[in-house]
Amino acid sequence: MTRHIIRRLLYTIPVMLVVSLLVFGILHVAPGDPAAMLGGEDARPEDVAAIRAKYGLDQPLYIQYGIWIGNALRSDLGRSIVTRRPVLQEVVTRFPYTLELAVAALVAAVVAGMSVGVISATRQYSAIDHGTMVLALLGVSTPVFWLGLMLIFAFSVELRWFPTGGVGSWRHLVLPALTLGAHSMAIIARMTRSSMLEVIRQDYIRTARAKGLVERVVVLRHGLLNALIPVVTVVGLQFGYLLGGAVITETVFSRRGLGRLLIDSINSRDFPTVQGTLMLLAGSFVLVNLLVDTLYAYLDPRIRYE
Amino acid sequence: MEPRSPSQFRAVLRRFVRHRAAVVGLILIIGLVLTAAIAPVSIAYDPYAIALGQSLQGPSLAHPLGTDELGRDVLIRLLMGARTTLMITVGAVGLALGVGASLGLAAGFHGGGVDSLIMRGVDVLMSMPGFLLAIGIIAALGVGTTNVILAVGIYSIPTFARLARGSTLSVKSEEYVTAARAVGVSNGGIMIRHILPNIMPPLMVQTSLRMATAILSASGLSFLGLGPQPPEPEWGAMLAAGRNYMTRAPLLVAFPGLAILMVTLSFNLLGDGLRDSLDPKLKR
Amino acid sequence: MKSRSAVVVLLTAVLLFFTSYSSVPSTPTEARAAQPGQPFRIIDSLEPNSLDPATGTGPFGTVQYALYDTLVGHNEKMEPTPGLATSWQVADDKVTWTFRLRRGVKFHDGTEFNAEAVKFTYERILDPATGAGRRSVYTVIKKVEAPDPQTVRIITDGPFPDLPFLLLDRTSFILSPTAVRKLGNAEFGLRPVGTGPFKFVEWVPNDHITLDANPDYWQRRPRSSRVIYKVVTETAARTAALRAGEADMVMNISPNDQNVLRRDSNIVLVQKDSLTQVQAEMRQTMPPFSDRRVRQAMNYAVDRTAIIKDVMMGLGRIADSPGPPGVWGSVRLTPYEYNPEKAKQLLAEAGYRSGFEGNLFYVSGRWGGDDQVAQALQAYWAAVGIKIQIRKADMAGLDDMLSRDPDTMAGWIAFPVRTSTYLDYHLWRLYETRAARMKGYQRSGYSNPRVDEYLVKARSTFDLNERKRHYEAAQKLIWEDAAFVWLFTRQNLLGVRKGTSGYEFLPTGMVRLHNAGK
Repeated sequence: MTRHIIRRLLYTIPVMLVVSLLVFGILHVAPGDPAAMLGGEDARPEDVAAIRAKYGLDQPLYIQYGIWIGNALRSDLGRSIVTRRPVLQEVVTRFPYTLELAVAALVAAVVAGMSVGVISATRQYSAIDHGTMVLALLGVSTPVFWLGLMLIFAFSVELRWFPTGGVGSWRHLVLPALTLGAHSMAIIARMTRSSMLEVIRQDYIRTARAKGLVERVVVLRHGLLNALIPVVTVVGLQFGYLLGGAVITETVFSRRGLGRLLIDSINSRDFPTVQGTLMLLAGSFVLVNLLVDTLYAYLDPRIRYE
Repeated sequence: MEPRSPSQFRAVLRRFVRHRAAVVGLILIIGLVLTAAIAPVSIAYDPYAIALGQSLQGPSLAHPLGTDELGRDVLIRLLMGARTTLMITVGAVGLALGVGASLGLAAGFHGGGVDSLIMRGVDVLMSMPGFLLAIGIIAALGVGTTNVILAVGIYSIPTFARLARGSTLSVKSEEYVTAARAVGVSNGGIMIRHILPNIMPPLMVQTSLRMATAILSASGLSFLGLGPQPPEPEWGAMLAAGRNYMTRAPLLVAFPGLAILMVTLSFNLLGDGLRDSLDPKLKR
Repeated sequence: MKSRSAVVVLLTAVLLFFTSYSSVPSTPTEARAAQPGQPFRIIDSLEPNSLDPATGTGPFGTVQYALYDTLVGHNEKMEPTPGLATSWQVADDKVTWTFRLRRGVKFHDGTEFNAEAVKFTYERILDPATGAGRRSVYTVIKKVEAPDPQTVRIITDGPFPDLPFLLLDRTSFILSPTAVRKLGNAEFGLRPVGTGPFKFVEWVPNDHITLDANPDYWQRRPRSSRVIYKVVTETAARTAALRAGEADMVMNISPNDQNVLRRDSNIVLVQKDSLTQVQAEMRQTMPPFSDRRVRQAMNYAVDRTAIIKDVMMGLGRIADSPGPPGVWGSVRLTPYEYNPEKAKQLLAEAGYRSGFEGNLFYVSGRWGGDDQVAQALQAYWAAVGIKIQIRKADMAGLDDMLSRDPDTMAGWIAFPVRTSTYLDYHLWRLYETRAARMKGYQRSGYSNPRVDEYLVKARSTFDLNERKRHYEAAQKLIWEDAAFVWLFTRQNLLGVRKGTSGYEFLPTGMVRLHNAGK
C-alpha cells in the first residue's frame, strides 16, 4: 500500500519534467520575435536588442530551458511580458478562481451524476431511467460554451437571477459551475448506472437482500461503495477535462481565472505567462490524479492487500 | 475468437438496425455529409457578401434563420459551416486513427523495447489534459484551420494507440495468427491481414465517439478565436461573434450551438449503437 | 472498515483544502451609492501593465492622471494650460525654452518637486535602458538643464513649436526621483509616486487599485476621498456592473450596449468625439498599392456611412481629413464617397481588372466593433475584386510588421488605431517620408516630397497663421494621394451612475477624476 503510493509519488517527477519540456518546447516552436513585443509600438531596433538580452531570448534553447527550469524550481517563473509582474504572482492570484470553478463543477458533477446514476440503476428500464439517460446523452453532446451562453440568456438576461459574469459571491459561481460540470455530470451518471447494475447482480448484494435488509440500505451501503471504484477513476480524468473546459467557461463568464489568462497571454504572446499558466494547470492535473490514485488504492481491495 | 465471417457481419448488422437511436444518428450524419456536399451549389446568397443595412434581422421568408451582424444569411453560413466542421473533424480523427492505430498495433505486436518506447511517447501526450495540449499546440503553431486539425488530431492519438495496443495483445496469441506465422507470413502481412481486421470493430466504435469529442473541441477552439479565421463560416466562430449581440439577436447564438449539439449527438448515438451491436455482451 | 474511515478522513481533508482555497476571493457586490467620504468606484477595460508613465502606455491613463501631473497641463480639448510649470517662453533662437515652475509642490513621498525632478523625468525617458515606449518622439529634446530649483531649460534639436504639446503627453508625467532610485524602474511601476490629486495605496493584481485623496494637492483638494479602480475586460460584464450599481463610472462602453443603457434611468451615457482615427494603412512602395488609382479605388469601394450606422451603431464621424478632427490646424475635406463602380473602373485603369490578393493585419479586441469593421472592409473590397485575408495579430506581430523594411510585404495592409493629440505629431509620424520609412514608425512607405516640404516649413516657424497654411496644403495633397483608406473617427462612450459629476472625459478616451464625485 505505502509502496504503491511512494512509487506513484516518484512517478510524478518524470511526468512533471515531461510536462515542463512540453510547455517549454511548444512555445519555442512559435514563430515571431517576443522581444519586439516588449518595446511597444514605437520601439527602435536597439531597444528591442536590449530587451532580448535582458530576458535571455538570444541564448540557445537548452540554456534557456536550463535557466527556466532552474528558476521554476525556485518558484521563479519570470516576469510577465505584458504586466511586468512576476508570473508566479499573476498565476497564483488567479488560480483560486479556476480552482473554485473546477471544484464546484466537480462536486456538482459527482453529487448529481451519482444520484442520477443510482436512481437510474435501481429503476432500470423505467421512464425515469430512460429520461435521465437521454439527458445524459445530451449532456455529453452539448458544447460547453453554448450551454453557458444559453444559461446566461435564460437566468441572467431574462430572469436576472444570477450575474452574467465576473467573480465574487457564490451567485457568480452557480452558472459557470453548472456549465462546466454538465459534461462530467453526464459521464458520471452513465458510469455510475452501469457499475451499479453490475454490482447489484453480484452475490453479496443477493446475500444482503436475503438477510432481509431494506432495499435502500442494500443499495446505499453495499452497492454504492463498490460502484464507487470505477467512478473514482473517472473523476480523476474528468478533472483534466474540467481544467481544459475552464478555459472556455471563464471566457464565456468573464471570470479572471487561469484559463482566461492563458488565452489572453497567447494572444499577446506573453511567453512566460503562457508557460506558467500551463505548468500550473498541468501540475494540478498531475496532483489530482495522484490523489485519485491514492484514493483508489484505499478503495480497491486488490491493491490494498498487494 | 475467429476471424469475422459474413454470417457474423449479418448478425452485427441485424443488431445495429434494431438499435433505433444508432440508426437515427447514422441518418443525421448522412444528412450532414449530403448538406456539406451540396451546400455550395444550393445557395441563394453569397455566404461572404455583406449587407450592412440588413444586419441582425429575425427569421423571415427571405432569410429563414435571419441575418448576422453584417447582414449575411445565417442559414447559408450554417450550411457552409457544416463543411468546415466536417473537414476539421474528419481530418483530425483520421490523423489520430491513422497514427494512433499504427503505433498501437506496432507496440502490441512487437512488444518489448518498441512497445515501451511507443507507449512512453503516448504517456507524454497524456501528461497534460487534452484540451490544454491542443491550446498549447496552437499557441506554438498559430491559429487557423490546419493547426486546429493538427492540435485536435495529436491529442486524440493516445486514445487510439492504447485501444489498438490492447486489442492487438488480445488477438496476437490467437490460433489464426500463430498459424499465419507458421506458414511464413511476414510480420507486416500478419499485422495488416490478420490483426488489423480483427481490431477494427473497437476502433470503429472509438472513431465515432471520438468524432463527437473532436467536434466539441474544434468548435471550442474556434470559439476562443484559435480556429478558422473570418470570413470563413465555422459554427464555433459564428457563436463567438453572435455573443456580442445576444441581447438583441439571441437566435444568432442559438442556431450554431444547436447545429453542434445535433452533430455531436449523432456521432455519440452512432458510436453507442456500434458498440452495442458489435459486442452484444455489453448490452443490457 | 478501518480503511473506509481513512477514506472519509482523506476526502474531508481534500474538500477542506479546496474550500479553503475557494473562499479566498470575495468582493462586495451589493449596490452601494458613493457618498462623500465613500470611495469613487470606476471600472476600466484593461489591466495596466505598469503605472510608470514611460513604460505603461496602454489605454489606462485614467489612473495615471489621478497619480501624476505634467509640466504643461491641458484643458478638455488637449490644449496646453499651466500645469506644474506656471509659464514658459521660447528664446529668439527658437530652440531654447524656459519653464518657470510652481513653488511648494510636494511628491506623495514628501520630497520636493523641483527642476531636478523634471530633468530626471525627461532624461529617464530618453535613456534607452528605461524602455520608454515613445522614446523616439522625445529625441527632439537635445538637453534638459536645471539652472535653479524653480527653472527648467530645454534645448530642442531644431525649432519645435509644439514642445508644449509634447510635454503634456502622458509619457511626460513628472515622477519622484527619490522613489525611482529607491524602488528601481520595475517596482516603481507597481508603487508609483507622483504629485497628482490622488496617492497610491495598493494594487491587488487582477483585482483593484486603491488611491487616496492627496490632502496636500497644489490645486483644490480632490472631491472624493478614495478611488477604487477595477478592471473588467469583457464589455458585457462592464455594462452589467454599471447597471447593477457596482461602479459609479464605467469606461469603454460597447456601441452595442448603448440602447440598453440609454433606457436605464439610473445611468447617464456620455458620448464624446475622440481623437482616435480608424484607418487601413497600405504598404505602398510596391505594387499594387504604389499605384494611387488602386488606393483611391479602395477608398471608393467602402461604404463608410453604412459601417458607422450599422456596425458602430452611429458612434463615429466619417473621415474627412488625414488629421484628427478638432485639433488645431486640421482641415475638413470632402469624404470619399461609396462608389464601387468608380472603384472597379480605377482598378481596371491601373491594370487590376481581375483584382488582386492582399492581407489585412490588426490586433483584435482593442475596441468595440473592430472585428466587424475588419470583416466589412474585407467584404467591400471583395466586391470590387480585391481578395483580402484577415490576419489577427498580437501587438508584437503588428509591431513586427510595422517595423519591417517598407520595401517588403507587398499587398499588406495594417489596420491599427491612431490617437494623436496634436496635428504635427500625427502628420509627421504617418505621412512624412523620413518617419514613414523609419524603423519603428508607420513604415507604410508613403512619400510625397511636396508634403515633406510643407511639413518641414510648418515646423520651422512659430507664426501660427503661416503654420496653418502649410499644414492645410500638406493635408490636401495627402487626401488626393489617398495615402490610406480613412474610415472614421471614433466616438467614445462613458457610462456613469446618475448623480455622478465633476469628471473630465478627455478625447483620448481617458478621464480626469480630480473633481469627480457623487
